[in-house]
Amino acid sequence: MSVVINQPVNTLPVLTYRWLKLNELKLSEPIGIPIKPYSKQFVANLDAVKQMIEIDTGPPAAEIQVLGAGVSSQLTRLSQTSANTGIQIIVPPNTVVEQPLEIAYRLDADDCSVIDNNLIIAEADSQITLIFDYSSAPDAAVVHNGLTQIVAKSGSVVNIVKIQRMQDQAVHFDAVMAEIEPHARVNLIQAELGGKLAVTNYVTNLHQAADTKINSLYFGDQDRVIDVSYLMNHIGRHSTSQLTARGVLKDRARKAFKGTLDFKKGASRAEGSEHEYVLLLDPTVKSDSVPLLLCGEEDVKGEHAASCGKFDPDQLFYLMSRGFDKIQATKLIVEAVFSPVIGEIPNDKLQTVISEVIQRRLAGE
Amino acid sequence: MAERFLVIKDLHVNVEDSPILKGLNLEVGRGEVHVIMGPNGAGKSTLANVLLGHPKYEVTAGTIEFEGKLLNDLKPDERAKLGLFLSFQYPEEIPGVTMENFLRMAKIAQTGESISITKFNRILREKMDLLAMKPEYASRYVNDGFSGGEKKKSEILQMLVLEPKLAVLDETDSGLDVDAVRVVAQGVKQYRSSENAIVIITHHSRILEYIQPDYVHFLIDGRIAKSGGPELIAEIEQSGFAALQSQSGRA
Ligand SMILES: Nc1ncnc2c1ncn2[C@@H]1O[C@H](COP(=O)(O)OP(=O)(O)O)[C@@H](O)[C@H]1O
Ligand SMILES: [Mg+2]
Repeated sequence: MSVVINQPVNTLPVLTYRWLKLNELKLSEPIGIPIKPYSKQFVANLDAVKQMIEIDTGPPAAEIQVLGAGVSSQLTRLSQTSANTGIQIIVPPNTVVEQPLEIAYRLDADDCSVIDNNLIIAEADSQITLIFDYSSAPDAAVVHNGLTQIVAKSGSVVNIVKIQRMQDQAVHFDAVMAEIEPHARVNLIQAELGGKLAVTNYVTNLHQAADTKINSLYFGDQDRVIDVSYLMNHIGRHSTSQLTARGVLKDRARKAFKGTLDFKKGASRAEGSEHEYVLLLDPTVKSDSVPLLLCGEEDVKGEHAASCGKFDPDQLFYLMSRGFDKIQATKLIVEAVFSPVIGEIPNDKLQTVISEVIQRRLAGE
Repeated sequence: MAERFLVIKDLHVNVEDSPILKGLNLEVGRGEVHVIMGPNGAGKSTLANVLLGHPKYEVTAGTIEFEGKLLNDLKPDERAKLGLFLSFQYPEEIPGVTMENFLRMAKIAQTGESISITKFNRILREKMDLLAMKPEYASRYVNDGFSGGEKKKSEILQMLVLEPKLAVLDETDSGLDVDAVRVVAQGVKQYRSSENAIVIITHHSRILEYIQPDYVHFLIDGRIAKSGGPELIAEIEQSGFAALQSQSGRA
């Protein structure tokens, strides 16, 4: 059995001028997602953490209400009804899980679809870190569609790292939804490095003095299409959010970045910021950014800055005149863009893996 | 000249299809310091850039040889590895890359030998001391937010660390105050040896109060119009380039 995805994805919460063509991403062709079991082990270090938390592998038994549409209502629905994998976690109150839980999916010709539905409930004053790593075998046409719901209860800290480094034939859809209760924090690190199409969506409800920090990194080369969307619903007083996105685009890659700060009535003294920096390595790339600021409350601070840099021939010449060949010089510049985000990833091995993926791409391998 | 170190013969260079260098000849021997002076737009920076192989500068005729090797078709990094260095008139900024990382990696790229961070940083601090640069510059991003003078010092620091065989300084003394010129000159003197050579492109005679050149050339309208010893500096101080310019215009 297989489901056909045809709805547009990442529709903006408030529509902008239609001629900008940024309100949503229309799929260039319908995408079929096979529904069949996923066969591999996917939690690397279950034993290390299972004493401390309640954990089940597989999709949740009951549906919990979603905060938004996700990547699209069709895709969110798919994860709710037809997930073939997932994890369910409850971190008991005051429990601090130091070691990151590593969840790795490897897609290939046999396991050609991952539809995961994850639920993480962090009870009051608990802490946990989860690393999701999606990779695929070369030349395998595979699809990932994910839904990760987080409930961070008061005073808890949830760190989520999502790394997508699939091969050129892969499609990646991923939705993360976080309900962040008073004084709780959710930190998201996201690295989009592969796939022919990568669409991600993060939506969060921030209650009183809740905080979310997002570090997003994307590298688009060849004909990759990247569409990333973030919606911060500031509901409570003193809630804060900081979004930092850093990207590099090369060849004919296309990227749309959508970041919305929605200050609801009553969210007085809330503060949100969005910063995006993108380095354009070739004039043939396309880079769109849509920052939105919605204010239902006056006593708030919202800030947005988007900038883009070009790697111009004079800069390249400067580096080469110091002895770096063209690939080394480009790599130096690209790593400079990414290093603040890569440095945040709580796993040395993955940091190296990411650097290597980027290096291979730049070398055209 | 005792040895063929740098030999430029009948060099013609176009920038965006217009001829800038029009048959330039220059020889620099090992151990020598040459000064090139000339009016704005004469082609001095063009010469500097073409020596390191900037792709925008098209060599339409002539040859550049360094230690017997033809440079014309070599990439900038290949020339750097042969021992050429350019102190840029307008150094680029490289945000996100610290000076110490940049220089250590450049050193490794050029020599092909690895060097430990501790050992490298010790050498770097020594050279920075010499140039009266505060230690914190090592952890700042390359030229990022540096003042004009700091950028020029950073270029000389790079020269001292990379230890090239031939250094071309393109107006490294421009825009510096008296103290900074002295410090930069000290750096250059420290580098000067019988094993390497320096080509100083300058508008001012001030740096030449510290560094005694062996040869002085006037570059006018894409050619070396006149060459001689240090006595030429006094000549240009007195009468400027106008006289030479009108001569070359007639030629
Ligand atoms: N990158 C460039 N693009 C276009 N024109 C250039 C470039 N570099 C130099 N030129 C032109 O070449 C001529 C010589 O410039 P330059 O070599 O910088 O002179 P100098 O350094 O002697 O002042 C000038 O007319 C200048 O406008
Ligand atoms: Mg110049």
